Amino acid sequence: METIIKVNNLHKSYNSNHIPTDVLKGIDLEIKAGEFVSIMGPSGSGKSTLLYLIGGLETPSEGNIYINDQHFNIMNDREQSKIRQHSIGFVFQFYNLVQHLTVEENILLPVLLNGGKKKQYITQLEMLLEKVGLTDKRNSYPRELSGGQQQRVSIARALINSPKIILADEPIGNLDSKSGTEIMELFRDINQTLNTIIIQVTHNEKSAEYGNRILHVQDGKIA
Amino acid sequence: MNSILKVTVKNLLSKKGRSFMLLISIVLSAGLVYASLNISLLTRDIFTNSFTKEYGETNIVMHKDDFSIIDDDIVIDDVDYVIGTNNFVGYTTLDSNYTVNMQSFNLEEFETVYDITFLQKDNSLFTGNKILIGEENSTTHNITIGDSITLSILGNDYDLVVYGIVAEGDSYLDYTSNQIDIVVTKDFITDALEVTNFNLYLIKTDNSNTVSAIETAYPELTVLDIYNQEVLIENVQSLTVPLMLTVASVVLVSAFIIFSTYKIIVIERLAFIGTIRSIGASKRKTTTSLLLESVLYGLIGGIFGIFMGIGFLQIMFNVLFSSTDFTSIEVAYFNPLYGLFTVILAILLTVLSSIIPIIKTTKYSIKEVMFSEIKNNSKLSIPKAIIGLVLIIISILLQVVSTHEIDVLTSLTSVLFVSIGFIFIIPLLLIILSPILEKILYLIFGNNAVVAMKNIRFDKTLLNNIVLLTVGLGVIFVINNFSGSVASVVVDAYATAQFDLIIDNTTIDDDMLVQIENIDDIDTVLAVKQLTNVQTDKGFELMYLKGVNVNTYDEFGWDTFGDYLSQETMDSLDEGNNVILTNFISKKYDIPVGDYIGISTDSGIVPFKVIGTVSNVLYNGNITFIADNIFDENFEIEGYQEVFIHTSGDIATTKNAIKELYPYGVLPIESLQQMLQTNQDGNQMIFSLMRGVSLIAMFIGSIGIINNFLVSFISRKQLVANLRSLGLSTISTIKLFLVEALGVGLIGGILSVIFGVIYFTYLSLVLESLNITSEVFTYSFKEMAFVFGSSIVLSLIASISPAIKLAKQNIVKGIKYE
Repeated sequence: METIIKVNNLHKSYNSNHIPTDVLKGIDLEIKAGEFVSIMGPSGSGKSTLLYLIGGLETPSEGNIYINDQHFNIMNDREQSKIRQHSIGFVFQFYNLVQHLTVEENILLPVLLNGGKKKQYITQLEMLLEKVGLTDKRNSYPRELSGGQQQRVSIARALINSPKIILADEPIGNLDSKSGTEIMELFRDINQTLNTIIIQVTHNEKSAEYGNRILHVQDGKIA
Repeated sequence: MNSILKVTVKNLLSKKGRSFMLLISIVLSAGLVYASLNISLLTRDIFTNSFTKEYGETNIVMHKDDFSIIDDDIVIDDVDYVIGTNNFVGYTTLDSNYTVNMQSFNLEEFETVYDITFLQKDNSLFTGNKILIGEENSTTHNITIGDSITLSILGNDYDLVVYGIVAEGDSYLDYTSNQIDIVVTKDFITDALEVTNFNLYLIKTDNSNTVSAIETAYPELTVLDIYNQEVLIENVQSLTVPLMLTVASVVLVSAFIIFSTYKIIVIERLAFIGTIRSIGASKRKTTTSLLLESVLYGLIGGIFGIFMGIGFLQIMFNVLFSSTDFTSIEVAYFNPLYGLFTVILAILLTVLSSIIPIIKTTKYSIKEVMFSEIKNNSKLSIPKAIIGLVLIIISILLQVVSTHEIDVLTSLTSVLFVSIGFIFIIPLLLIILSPILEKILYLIFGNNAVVAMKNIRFDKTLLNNIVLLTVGLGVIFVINNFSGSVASVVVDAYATAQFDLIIDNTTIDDDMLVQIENIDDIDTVLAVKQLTNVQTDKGFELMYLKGVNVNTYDEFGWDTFGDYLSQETMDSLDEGNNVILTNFISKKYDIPVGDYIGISTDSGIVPFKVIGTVSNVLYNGNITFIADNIFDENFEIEGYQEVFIHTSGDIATTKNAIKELYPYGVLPIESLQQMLQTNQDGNQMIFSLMRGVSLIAMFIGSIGIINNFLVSFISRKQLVANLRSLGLSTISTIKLFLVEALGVGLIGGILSVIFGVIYFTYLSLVLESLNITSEVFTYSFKEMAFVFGSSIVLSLIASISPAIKLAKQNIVKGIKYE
């Protein structure tokens, strides 16, 4: 299978009160198309940092990241934004929906603000609404939805540009177990039906098992 | 309590930028309040000090209206002194730019009235042609003891010798521009000028009944209770009332900023409040902490406000009195009582403005607070909108039912109701306006416009910005239009004037009129009789009643009738008891053409038929005309109160020639140009002060607007980071916020013009209730455009920096932001 993400000798260190702290100490990783990877590890192990670096939200101190054979970490902000816009979708623990926009408007928000026309995304929108099970809630406002439903909206929003990669940081960390299971089922469905790579960071063993590969990060290295 | 204080101080210091912003608005408001309170006291002090210089120990003065000689013997009982003196004006060859103001005293009298120190004094007796001068005059004009100066009075020259020089600061002999003040001997008046009686009496008494006793005994004389003059109070009020009204607007803007900032502070503080309430702190304790914080803001702001106020006061003082000699008078800028009042007011302003958001925190449950279930979203409050509409309707109804007896109260209430009402319905207007703007902006900015307009409709902080822009720029619109229209009306009115010189505010008798007419170069003279405060049967007084010949009056005066009345109407004025009113009087007192008005004449109330109305802004529209022959039939008064002069010669030379005919004080004669200048300067002075204050209001408002944008943008930090993680570019992010700011500016601009026009209209009604015609006040499209443009520019400028900052934030930090 084709390698989509390639990470070589990835290092990340922060300066805290002028004292350098190494968070990631040489990570090597390859992720192929259609993989569902769960990253686990104790707090402070660097698992979220790894996710952010893959998504270009942070710059590595050393090492290289390739996405579709493109040298991602040396690109400028505009080029990285473009890659994120078309190839990567992020899902976070907090859904960050705009309270006065409907479900449909929230899902379309990233494309509309980048100048896209609603018409061009109607088919994609219908498909996503059906996939996340919110077709009947398309005109509802976030305050009218449960936490699980709001997270579904944020997942649909992350998928509106048909990205090949979904990066999820503790996606069910804010949900009860029933809603959490529903979200993980949704991720699995997306992974299998759309062939989207899913990389999730989680503390939860049960949700990690949805992945077909589990990576354990400890002390900045993959154990 | 100790722990609450500690927490309060920590909270205050936790957000230094915002604390500073809040303090700035409190300090500026408190400063303006302190200065505007003090300026009336200061002005009164200045007038009082100038009276003390002018009249020394004297507290009552008595003279004829025109300062001519009083022939009666004056006997007044129960007083410390009554000193008769002659106050004349002459001219000197020393310097033709200066008039000479002389008053006659013997030395003993002079030292009784004034507490003076002689710097130099001759050892001989103060008799004959000897004079006293002041220290500064001696230096300025280079004259000292033994020097003689030539004085010209009524065409005769007299040589006067300096007898003594009096220290500066002790008497009316102090230096003033354009005038040299001297003391002459009483012998000089009787021997040289051959005047045996006095034209001015100076009286000192502690007896409060003396004024009324003198008025009864000498009804033909003017008696002035120097330190208790209504005129003085009115003068001070004419300066301070508009200023106070403007300052009140500033305080209103400040109160709104404090209110809106506290709403944010409270929301931010909710997590902390929830935490300490969950571990046992009572609602009372958390409320006390927040209240104490606002008291601290008020206290600090009030104290610094006094210093700021002293600075403002010095600026105001210089603006108000720069063209007078008053700037040399020493005044105290610090007043402890007003200082204390300012601090209390600052605390009250802060506490009252913050109390509603603070009290709201007590209504939330711990669960709501802990789980951040309270959002800063705005939605239309129907009851508030209804109250707003009701207040506006009441303000309109009040005007319908108002009569001139209660119009001060009704107009002031209407202004208050319409202002509050309008602010209350802004969310409703936003709902009406935003879809329209959304459609227009969509054509230019596409989807950004749709999202931006939705954000504006639902974001409380952005709504606050619209209110701030509306109120702040609305007030500026009113002030700019008032000052602009007054200035242009004055210029327009003077442009129609036909005369070269005018003598006003005094009485010119027949002899002097003949003398004026006989001066070379004077072509024609029109003398008009005039009465003030004439009673009517309609329950009000005619402030100015003039007896005129309509055709001649237009040739000299202000083009009063020709533009508004037919020749037939003008010709019929002298055909009986007919009267011409100004539009203002006719409308205010509901006396239309054809109606009758009873005017109190020498023979009682006489009905006059209203045959026409004219537009006239002179005397603020309080002017009424009857024919000169009818005036003479009904009123027996001496002399003429208004004299218009046409000259073919040099205006300044003619003016001096007329002045020299009049020895009793400085003749109030002015050229048209001078009159226009004086009028413009006076308006300029008060309006520049009001403009200054309104700029401070806008400055305070701008701080609030920047803060609101910051808060609004920061509250969406996480959302923006999230959208950026999904590929939203920096440019698109900045564009979204700038389109949002543009929307705020556009709506703020539209509403500030609407609010400004409404506020302007209602304030005109207040002025009409205070007998000032609203014909003077018009608003211009230029000012509308200025306010509209300012709103957009201000909004965009205030949002640029926070928008760029937010768009360029570190995405991970933004996502982790709580």
